[in-house]
Amino acid sequence: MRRYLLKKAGEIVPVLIGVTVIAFLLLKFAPGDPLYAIIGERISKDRFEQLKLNESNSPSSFIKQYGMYAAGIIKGNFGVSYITRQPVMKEYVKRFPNTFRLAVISVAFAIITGIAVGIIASVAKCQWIRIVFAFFATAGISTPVFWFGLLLIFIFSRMLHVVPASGMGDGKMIYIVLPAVTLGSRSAAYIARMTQSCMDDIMHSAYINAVRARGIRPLPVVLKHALKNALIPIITLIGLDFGSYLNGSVLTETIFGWNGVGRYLVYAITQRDYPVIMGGVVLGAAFFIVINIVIDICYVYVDPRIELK
Amino acid sequence: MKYFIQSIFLLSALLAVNGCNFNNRPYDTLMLRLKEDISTTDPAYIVDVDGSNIAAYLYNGLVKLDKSMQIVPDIAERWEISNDGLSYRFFIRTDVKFTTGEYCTAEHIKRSFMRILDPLICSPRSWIFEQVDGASDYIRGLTGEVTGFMVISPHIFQIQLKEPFAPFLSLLTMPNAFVGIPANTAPAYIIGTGPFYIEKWIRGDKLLLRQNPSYFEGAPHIEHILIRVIPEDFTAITEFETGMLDIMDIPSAEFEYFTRNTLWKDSVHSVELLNTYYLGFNCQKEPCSDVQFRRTVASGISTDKIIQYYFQNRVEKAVSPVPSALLKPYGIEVNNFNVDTSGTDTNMPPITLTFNSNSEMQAIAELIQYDLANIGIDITLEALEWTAFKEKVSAGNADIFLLSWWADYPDIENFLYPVFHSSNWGSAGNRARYKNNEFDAAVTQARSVSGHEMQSKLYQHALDIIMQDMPWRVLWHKKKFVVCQPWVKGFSLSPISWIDKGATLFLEKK
Repeated sequence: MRRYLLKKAGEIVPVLIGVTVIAFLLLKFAPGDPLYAIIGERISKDRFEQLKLNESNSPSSFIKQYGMYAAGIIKGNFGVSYITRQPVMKEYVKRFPNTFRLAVISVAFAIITGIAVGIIASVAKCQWIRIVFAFFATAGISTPVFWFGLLLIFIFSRMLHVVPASGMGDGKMIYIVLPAVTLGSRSAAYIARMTQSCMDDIMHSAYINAVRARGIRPLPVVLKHALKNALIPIITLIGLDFGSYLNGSVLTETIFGWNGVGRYLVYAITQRDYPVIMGGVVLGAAFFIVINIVIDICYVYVDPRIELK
Repeated sequence: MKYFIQSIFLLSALLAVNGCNFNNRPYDTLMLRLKEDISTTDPAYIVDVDGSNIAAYLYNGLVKLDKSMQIVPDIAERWEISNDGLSYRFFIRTDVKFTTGEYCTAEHIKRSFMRILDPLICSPRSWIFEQVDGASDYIRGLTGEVTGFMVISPHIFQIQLKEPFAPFLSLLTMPNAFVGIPANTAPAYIIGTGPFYIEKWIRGDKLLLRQNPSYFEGAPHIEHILIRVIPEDFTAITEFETGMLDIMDIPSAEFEYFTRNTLWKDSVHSVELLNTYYLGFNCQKEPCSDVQFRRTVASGISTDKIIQYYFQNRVEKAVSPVPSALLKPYGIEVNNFNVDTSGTDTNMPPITLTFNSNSEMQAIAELIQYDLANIGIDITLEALEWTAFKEKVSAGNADIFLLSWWADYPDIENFLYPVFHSSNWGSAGNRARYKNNEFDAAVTQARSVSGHEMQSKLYQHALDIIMQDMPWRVLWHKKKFVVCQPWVKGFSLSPISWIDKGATLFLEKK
């Protein structure tokens, strides 16, 4: 395990270098000067050049610019936002706990509902229950997130007044209900589909018949023996979704006014706020790498036959 | 299964305890919405409307605009202008305090204004003091003082201009001329004298302002202003309808709902803002350099239809680059010059209409393309992201473009000099790259003369030249539509939104 972790840690470095170089190049060649987003009107040509000189404050050579940036990252300094003039890391760190909280609760919602629905759809003997659950799973996958979010706001906030429509509510749990359900619904549907299909295969396998023959009750058969063997693809799915949610869920965060990193990054993109975009890309890539390592470790615990090399 | 059911019940109970009072709101707090968070409240850096509106709650200028757009005293109780129009002497009120409790003096005003010109601060609005004596040397770092800012006594501040500049007092009403001093403990935080101060700002989430009890015009009626960032229109409407927002700009998609719904239609306020949307011609590039061609294109666009069918009459048709509210004080009339365009050769390579890529501009561009195709002029459309669009248009690389001009201050000069004077080509404002020596002379003279009658004559002449040469095909002036909760009292809209300091508003919930 230790060797595996060291090897993976070694792999992170070239991946992050690759990510920063690609992002740096793309932003370098993107059309439009970010200065236009902050100067407003009535800037004479001379003044424009003067402001540009002060704002960029960096060497002309691309390699030197990249070197300066990479050195900053190593020190945990991602630069200062062009728009807000605040350090990128400080702004990111303020928003990340919000995104993390939303991601954790959404994934928890997705796991609980997805696995429950998947198991019921798989083991139900009644055909119509299977059809109904399969229908909801398909509907969950096909429904656009923004539409589902707006529908929830319309029903639960506008009509029934039972949950707030937007905001962070200074951490009150009620404010996270609609964003978490919206964000987790699609994951839940995928997990349900995946659980159902894996369980369908496993429930008809020989070793489940053997377990049944030993006289074990149906619920432990499903939860202890069948589900555990169906978990590998489900964990992969959960891990990928969780990694994606940690990078911010733009639509959900926008609809519910959730102050997370996704909205922060998209706003930065529209404003050509390069330091924020770069910081977001680098940190996002790092999260994905870490999540993938965690998934690999989870595989070992779920299926001891898997070895980490 | 037992544990599963138990945890569901536990979760529900937690939610109920946590959020049972989410829709109980205080009625000493005015609740407002921002679509996107503001970038700053520092007067040196504000360039956007939302930032300007919030700055109005936090700061005061030497002078301000009243509801009828007249310049009235603010921190300065009165002022004197020398006969040669070069000296402006302001007499500072003795009862103005910063929110820290410190009294505001002429020295503070000087420091505040010098910040705008400070080469280290790099304010994009340093141009508002470019007429002040010694300002240009200070910006370039050649001197350590601005000779034109003079502290005569603790309560007398004088500004010396290098040449007469009639609209100078109007410039002092801009948010960038608000008086603010950096806090000793946190220099990025600017302390003001306004009716409110920032109690809490969670960037991207909310901004909470608190009443300044020692505000020199009397403490505001409301205790707090809570400004929440709600990007999605539908969500904002839900918050408004559930009483969690007090005043809201009506999203264009919901205009009909609010103006027809019996519950809301009497609570809708509107005002024509000081702006002009236009189709700009690049006057230095073929074929738009030909005035005849410009007039042909202009005559082919049916503004009435766009206003009626696309905007559903939510905008006011423009007849000149200058909004009518700014023509009235000078008694200026808009003269149209009918020129025969029948001989114009429309058989030429297609030209490109460049615009900022958003759905509204896309739709307008397509309608213009259709109109022009009907008179035999083919145009291709080019949608660009905002900074790329501004870069291209400022560099003079666009043929024709869709853009708007918004007032910095309510004076006709603001709609003529920056946008049509040949010294302002590009990012300085004249993106049409228009040049006419006669216009330049008229508008330059109008800026410096002090007689109202003479100014009117010169501005009339300047406007007539623009109406003849047509560097812009003017389209419309945008209006602002706002809906208010019935418990909001003392609310009114102004063509320039940062006039409202929020001090007279109050909430009366029966």
